[in-house]
Amino acid sequence: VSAHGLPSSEHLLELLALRAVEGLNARDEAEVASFEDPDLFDEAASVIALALAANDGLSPMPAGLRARLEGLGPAVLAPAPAPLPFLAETKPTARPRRGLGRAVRMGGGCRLSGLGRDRLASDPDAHD
Amino acid sequence: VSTLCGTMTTPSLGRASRKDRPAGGLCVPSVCKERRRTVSEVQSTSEDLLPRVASGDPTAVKACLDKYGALVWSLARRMCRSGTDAEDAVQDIFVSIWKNAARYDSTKGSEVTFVATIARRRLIDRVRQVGRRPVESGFDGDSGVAVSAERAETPVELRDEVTLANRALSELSEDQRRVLQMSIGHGLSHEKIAEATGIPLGTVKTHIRRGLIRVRSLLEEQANRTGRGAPS
Repeated sequence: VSAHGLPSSEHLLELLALRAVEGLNARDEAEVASFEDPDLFDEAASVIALALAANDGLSPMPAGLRARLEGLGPAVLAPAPAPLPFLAETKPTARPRRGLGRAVRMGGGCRLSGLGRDRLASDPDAHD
Repeated sequence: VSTLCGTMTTPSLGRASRKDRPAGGLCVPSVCKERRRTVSEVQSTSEDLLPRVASGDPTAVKACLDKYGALVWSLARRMCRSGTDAEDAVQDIFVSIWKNAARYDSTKGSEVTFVATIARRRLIDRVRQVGRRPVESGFDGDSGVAVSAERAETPVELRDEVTLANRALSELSEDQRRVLQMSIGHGLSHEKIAEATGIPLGTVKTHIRRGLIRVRSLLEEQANRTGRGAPS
């Protein structure tokens, strides 16, 4: 890294500049990932974009889109729903037992409670 | 324009560490502790909307659309193939902004730069997925989306940022400005720019690289010159 946080490699500089203005393919992205700050030029590019957009005159957002976003916003901001009530956290099971249902097999950290557990205890077919 | 390094003793000052970046590869433009805020950022901090969004304030959604809607829409118009594509992109961008609002830190970067960076990153990803649009294409009137011909006033909160951005742009060479305008302003690939201008591809890349280095340097000089803001 040279002065001002710029990489000394011209090739890397070129990739970082390309990343800021038009993005990179997966191979180049992997190459710049080794550099401490792949977003080196993102701020400068954003500043230029801001200037160019403002100089041309900003266009108002279509009313329909705005209404859609206003309706969508509260749902995005809403907190995530609580976990489903029939799943309770337990210690991860080392090896799921056969026949105890999908919740145990898939999660490993959940157990059936309530009706499911009772059914398993009383229904010999559930073990198949 | 945004958070700028106040000290220059360490070469990599002012660069975001990876753990500070929003999910999905998005970057908080400036997150190092040594960075300082510009005066416009200091002035606007009390009016920042993203902390309100992060706290779940539903009224902040409308305020956010008021403040940044025209900017994000204008950026999307420049880079999308059609009005429908631009609408989808803008929706995607705002959802991303709202979901990442908690990651915004006013002591480390300006809100408008945070928003513009998310918008641009999303748009770049989108353009790469669907392919670049032709040089002369525009979508006004071609997509069934009612695109207004009127111009929105630049929100007063963004004017300081725009002034500083223009100052940085004005200090570039004519070629650098022209090439960056085609690349960043209109989303043209390096190859398309070379074709359109007759400038060799390697020279296009050089102009873009040197132009970005220059703007980055100017932003840091600006912060050092004004010495504004308190260390975070």
